Amino acid sequence: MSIAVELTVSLKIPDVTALTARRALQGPMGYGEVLGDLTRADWWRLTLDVATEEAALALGRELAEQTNVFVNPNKHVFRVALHAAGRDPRGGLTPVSVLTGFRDEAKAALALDALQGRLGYGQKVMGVELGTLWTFWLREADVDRAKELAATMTVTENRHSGLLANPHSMWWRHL
Amino acid sequence: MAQACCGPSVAVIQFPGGNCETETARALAAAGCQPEIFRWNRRPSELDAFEAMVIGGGFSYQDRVRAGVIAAHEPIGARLVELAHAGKPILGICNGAQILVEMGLVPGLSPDAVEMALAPNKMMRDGHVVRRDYYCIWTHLKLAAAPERCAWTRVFGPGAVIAMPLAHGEGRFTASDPGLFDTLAANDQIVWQYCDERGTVDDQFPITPNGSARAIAGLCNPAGNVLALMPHPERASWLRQVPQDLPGRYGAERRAAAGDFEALEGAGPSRGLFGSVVEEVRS
Repeated sequence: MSIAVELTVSLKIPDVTALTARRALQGPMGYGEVLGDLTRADWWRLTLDVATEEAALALGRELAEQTNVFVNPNKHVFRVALHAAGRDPRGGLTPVSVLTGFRDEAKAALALDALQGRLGYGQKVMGVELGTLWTFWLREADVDRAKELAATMTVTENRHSGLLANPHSMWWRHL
Repeated sequence: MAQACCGPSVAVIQFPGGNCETETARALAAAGCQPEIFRWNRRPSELDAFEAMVIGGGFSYQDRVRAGVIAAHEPIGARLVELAHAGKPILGICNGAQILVEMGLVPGLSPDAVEMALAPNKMMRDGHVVRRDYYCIWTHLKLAAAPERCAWTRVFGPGAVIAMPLAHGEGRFTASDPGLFDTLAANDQIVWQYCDERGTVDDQFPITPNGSARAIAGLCNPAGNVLALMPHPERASWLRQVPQDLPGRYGAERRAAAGDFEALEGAGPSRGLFGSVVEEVRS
């Protein structure tokens, strides 16, 4: 039976990529009033051949902690869940999570190859997907409107809007 | 830095993380320009005093998010767009090319639209991916457009073949609409294509070293004053910079010049890009 878990991996130290993106959005791109914060994590979706959700979560944690493929404990913190989204509002800010990634990236395939091959997990690990999980913290109480704003800030359609995903080489979706 | 008298004034724009501005300025000076390194946080209006601009290579903002995109949104970018529309010559080299694409200046068919991407390298041969990501090699380029089509190619002969090195991880011109490249070809906006030393264009690895569509190495805007070029002409502006084992004409010239200081200090294969802007501004 295949069950997927989502592994999110973020930095313990300040994430300068997220800070730089936030600064660009808040400053020159004009989203300063609506964007309170922007955070980032690597997002891995691991499809596992296990019998129960509990077994999937346990294997997901083992892969995160013991393989050195996804997590460097010196600089990363991680979370394994059936679904990575679901952040609670904080300080009056509405969280909206967006996934982005390059269409032709090969790191997921390389990770799968390593897990199935030299690390000995074989077909217990059936699939690996990779993306970047961005969470916008927005001063917008209406969730639908907040999602629209996040999409506008994500997709680079013209010089004035959208920073995180150039649609000519990248995919994106709400999580 | 030695500067030629009376050549065009050229701003070499330096973003945080840029690392080629000094040698780009030297190459411009050797071609007869008056270069000045221009930091990105100066008042954008100060750019107006220059007759041309070059955005050099490097890793602006450490390539955070993706190459070129943060720099593209700096306030100086808006001024560059205005100056480009006013017809000033602008050259983006490597990271500079990535910035021009993210600014929407290249290919520039629809105002302000970002119409393509410089995606991570994906080297293809016979339908297979043979390599990915960062790559560093000397390449040959063929002038695919008429020399007068672009401000940065005026001094070359039709179909000229030159050589220069490249070093990048995201240099694959791509677009979600493949028909875009038919339009660019019809508009004569494909300026430089990767080729072998004899000038035979091939979109397969290793001739096209990054998987770029139509073997594109350099692409201009519709007006021809803005050029996005992935290889580095400032690294091939003196003959001494050419590797002796480079196949073809330039390697032979380099070998023949061994021990001849004057010949080695002579023009390299791509100095003409910078010389072209001298002619462009004079005209």
